[in-house]
Amino acid sequence: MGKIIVTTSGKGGVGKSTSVANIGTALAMLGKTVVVVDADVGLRNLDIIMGLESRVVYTSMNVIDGECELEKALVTDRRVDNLKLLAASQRNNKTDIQPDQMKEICLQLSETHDFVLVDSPAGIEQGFENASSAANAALIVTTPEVSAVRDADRIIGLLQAKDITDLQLIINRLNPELVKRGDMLNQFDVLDILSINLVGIVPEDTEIVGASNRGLPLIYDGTSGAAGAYRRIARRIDGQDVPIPEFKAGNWLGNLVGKLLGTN
Amino acid sequence: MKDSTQAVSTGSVVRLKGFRDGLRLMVDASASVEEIEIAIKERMGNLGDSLAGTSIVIDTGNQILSDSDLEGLRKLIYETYGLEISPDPMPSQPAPETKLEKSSASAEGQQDNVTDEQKIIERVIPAKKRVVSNSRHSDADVHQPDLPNREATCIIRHSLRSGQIERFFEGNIVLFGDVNPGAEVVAGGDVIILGRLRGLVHAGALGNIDSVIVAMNLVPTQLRIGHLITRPPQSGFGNKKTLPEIATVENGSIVVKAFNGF
Repeated sequence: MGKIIVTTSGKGGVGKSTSVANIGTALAMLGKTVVVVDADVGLRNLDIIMGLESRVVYTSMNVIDGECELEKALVTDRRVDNLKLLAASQRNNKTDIQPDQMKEICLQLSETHDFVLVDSPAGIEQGFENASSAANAALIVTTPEVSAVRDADRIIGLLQAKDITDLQLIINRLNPELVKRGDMLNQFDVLDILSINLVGIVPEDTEIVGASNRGLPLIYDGTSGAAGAYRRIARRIDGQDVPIPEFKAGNWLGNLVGKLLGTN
Repeated sequence: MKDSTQAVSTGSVVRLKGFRDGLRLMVDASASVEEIEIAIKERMGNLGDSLAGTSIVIDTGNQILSDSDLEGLRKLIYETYGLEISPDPMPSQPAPETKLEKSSASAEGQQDNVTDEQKIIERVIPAKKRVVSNSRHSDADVHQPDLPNREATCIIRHSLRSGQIERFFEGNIVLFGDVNPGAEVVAGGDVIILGRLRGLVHAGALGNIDSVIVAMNLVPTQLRIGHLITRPPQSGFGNKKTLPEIATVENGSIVVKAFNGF
């Protein structure tokens, strides 16, 4: 039985889908069988970020309506063939699927894959309920901002109330320059409130937008800061012990050297 | 506060008591509906929205209100204060005054009607979360049942996250842990936080301004005692206070001082 991990945040736009796409790809590159499930019915993005939009024929809605077998709805990734995507319907909305139905799909997928990564929509309503229905673990994504942390705290409370105890935090879009100026929370401020295990920090990376638009997850770019972070997070999720590097501000020479050497 | 032209003082027509995390409204059903409504407005008028969403039970003791009167009260309470009327979990608990007035014969006859009308629901409070200690009712409680029972304390042994609310109108709350921003603690009596208070606390929620709030680290989003509200001075995120502090009401406003013991 594979692990079913829901990636959620409460707040919108903090990097859930981006994280699922990159971590899913990284895990597959480590040799695991991975299926990523887009639970954002009606506002799906996962297929776009992974560059698989044109390959989606059937969605989870078709499976639930009995129009096709689950296997048939899975889209194999263009670049890594042990990575699959179950897309969400763009025509329906979140009330068209019930938690039980999502749960059944996720449980079925976990029988044949090492990891089932469920991309939850923002919010705490039915979309979140559907996405977390089968989860036995959660990845909580937050940015180092007061409103995002407030929402993450709420969602952690809801997950704990569902007895999901394997909770890991990703702090996304950390900008060491802003932290140094005192304009942005640092990781300790965030952990002080959220009090859960930190699985990784992803630094602010201007390459993310381009990658998302081109449908090429950043994980393939060896020099990008965020790519390195996602690779390390995937290894930690896989159980490896990888230390979290310190992100320092404004050392352009150091950053340049790091970029050239690929150690970022 | 008492209007001398009123036939019945509002103090005895309606009493509001905390009961665990809900409220009990003890109504003297021998008063007219108008008197009852006036009394309710006076008693609950300035309690603010800490009560919103709380369940309330209308307790008429051994008397009965007519269905239409009861419905009128339910509507008034729901529309004005946002409180939902719950069925009575303990139907045979008359207010101290009405118990003395009714004869045993009529009390029995009416008792049957009361239990027919009301469903009995067992209220279960998760044992692992709460310990209610020492619920002896003091003399003060009998004569002034509106005051919270100062010896009843609910102990909560975990932190509260954003969006979580703990209420104990009956008495005090002691919390082992933090109250995160977005979390709320509401008590009829005092509130003692053995951790960081970063959310909202309302002590003396039924109107007692002699209640206190103590925290190891008092950096709330808002403090309320009785009907008074205060907010902390504007300071950026990342408060670095480390001293325990106590909030009390002095001369009509909430003051916060360093806490060195009672």
